Amino acid sequence: MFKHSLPLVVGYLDPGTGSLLFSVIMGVVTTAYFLLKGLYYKVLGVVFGALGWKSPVHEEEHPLVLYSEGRQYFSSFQPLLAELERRGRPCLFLTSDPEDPGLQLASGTIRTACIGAGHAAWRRLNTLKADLCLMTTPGLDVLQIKRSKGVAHYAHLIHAPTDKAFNRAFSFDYFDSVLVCGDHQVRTLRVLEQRRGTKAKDLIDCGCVYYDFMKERLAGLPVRQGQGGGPASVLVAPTWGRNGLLRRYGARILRPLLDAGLTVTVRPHPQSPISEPEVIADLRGQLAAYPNLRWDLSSDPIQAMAASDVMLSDISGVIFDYAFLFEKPVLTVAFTPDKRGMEASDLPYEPWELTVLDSIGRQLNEEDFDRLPDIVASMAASDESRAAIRDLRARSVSHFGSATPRVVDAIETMLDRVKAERA
Amino acid sequence: MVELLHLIFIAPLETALLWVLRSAYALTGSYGAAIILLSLAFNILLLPFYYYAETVQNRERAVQKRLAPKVEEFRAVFTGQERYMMLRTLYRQNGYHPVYALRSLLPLAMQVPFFIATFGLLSSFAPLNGQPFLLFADLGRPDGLLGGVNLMPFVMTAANLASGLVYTRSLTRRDRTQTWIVAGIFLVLLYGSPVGLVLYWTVSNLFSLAKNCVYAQLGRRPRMEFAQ
Repeated sequence: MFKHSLPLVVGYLDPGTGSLLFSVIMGVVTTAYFLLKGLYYKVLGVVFGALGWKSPVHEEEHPLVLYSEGRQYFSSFQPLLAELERRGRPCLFLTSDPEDPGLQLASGTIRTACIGAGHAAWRRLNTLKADLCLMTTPGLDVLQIKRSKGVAHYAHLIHAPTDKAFNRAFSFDYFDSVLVCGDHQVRTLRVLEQRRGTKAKDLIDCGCVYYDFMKERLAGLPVRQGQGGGPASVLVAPTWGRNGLLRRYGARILRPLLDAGLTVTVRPHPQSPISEPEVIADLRGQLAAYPNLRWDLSSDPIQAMAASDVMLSDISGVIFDYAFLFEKPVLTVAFTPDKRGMEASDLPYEPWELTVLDSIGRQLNEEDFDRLPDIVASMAASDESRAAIRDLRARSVSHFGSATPRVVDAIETMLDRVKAERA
Repeated sequence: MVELLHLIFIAPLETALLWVLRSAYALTGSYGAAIILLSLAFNILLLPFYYYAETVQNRERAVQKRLAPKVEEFRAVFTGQERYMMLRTLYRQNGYHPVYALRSLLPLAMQVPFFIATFGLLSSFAPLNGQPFLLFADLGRPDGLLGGVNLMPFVMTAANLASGLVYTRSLTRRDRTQTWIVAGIFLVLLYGSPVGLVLYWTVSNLFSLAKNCVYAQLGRRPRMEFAQ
């Protein structure tokens, strides 16, 4: 009876509805794209998870599960596993690394299993059944590792003295507890909770287990003390990515040290050869002619740390390990770090690590690069520097060298609480 | 399928509109006046839908505006699945999901049948043929008042642009552009239509202008604060 078409009719809208129409079209397109992307990743997860899921222990319920991404976190898990075994606490240790030395620590009470990496591991973890799952991996329920319905309590073990502001955003938001090692970490985590309206976590100040492990190792290690008249030894240990020193300055910062005859050991972040191999390859090519340059790609940093007088770095967690364990100064290159996408971008103050750089050594500007050999010489011989480091450590790392029993106490308290809640 | 939808959603409305048009004609004795009354009745009836639609849209705008800096930040530094997951968490923490944008579809979906029914009714309503009204010799044909050029589509567009000007005063350039585009489409599509139909939409646009002036005067459009 009537001849009309929808597009024509839609043209007859008043300004409000016309604008609404555009919004709807945009909304539909955006939403469809977002949902399709989500579906795509979900399908990928199911397919790859199913293909790689070979772990034989997935149906059991466990009181306590520790998950490690790999051998690089052994220093955080070994002391815990030893203490748990000493106390007779049953525990399942899962790792994504078939070479993780933690796998060798199986005993009467400790069970170990490698669950593979990537989708296989995520699928396994996302269907875990446990009273408590403790991990050093951030981003629970944000990235691929989701909160499993079968896990009553998730705890994160912080394995660095920094306030974690340079972690990816939302790193800790969905844990029930975080085991911290200082008030600065409590402050940052609380501020982030308030700004985001996320649930208040239990923040338990136990100290840093990693330092217990490292301190024990240091006990039997020859540590270089003083230069003995020879040239200073500089360990260059940057972080990776946008804020990394090697990517930002490359050979420009290394040449003055090498030209002055100093021994320079470059130890790239373990992620660098994986995520930015071109940066490393380029530098190696440029500096190949220097006999006083060493590249240290070993998994363990401690030898290189012990054999050096001064560290040159950026905003990397390793600078505090160096300062706190060896009481030797760290030179950091001052720059405005890129905070985008990191917890730091939601903080109304500067991250802790940016405020204490002069307490563990000295901040450098680009203008200082040519004077680096002199700066290294003066810092390497400084007693004031050592005192400042000790003072900062006392204020920032609780239970330095004796954190393990406290962390295990906290684990037992959490387990008891879960049991009481379930009863 | 289309016929079934028409039967369910459009036909009853057409009947109702036809009833209103005929009643208004019986009351006034003029199809021109009847169309004006029909337009006013239609707009008053749709007022709550408009209100709801704008409320939803404003809320959507407010959320998008608030989240935009963080979305931009994440888009700049994350890619692929990581970006998807970070954005999903951002939305989750703000009680939002892009799928909520689809809620705006509901009021629109409610309005579309009214539009189709009105358009269908007036574009081919035989009793309008030969009916004069004010300046117009025949409500069933284009007016051709400016030496063969139609006047009413321009009057209607002027009312539309004025309404749009008031509506988009506090909105973004994109919103303004969208409004101009809609007005332009409006003019092109309606230019050759019977003057009765153009009269209907002119009154509708004037109603919209009055509504937007009242909102502007009150210093507010319907708004809902976004729940934290």
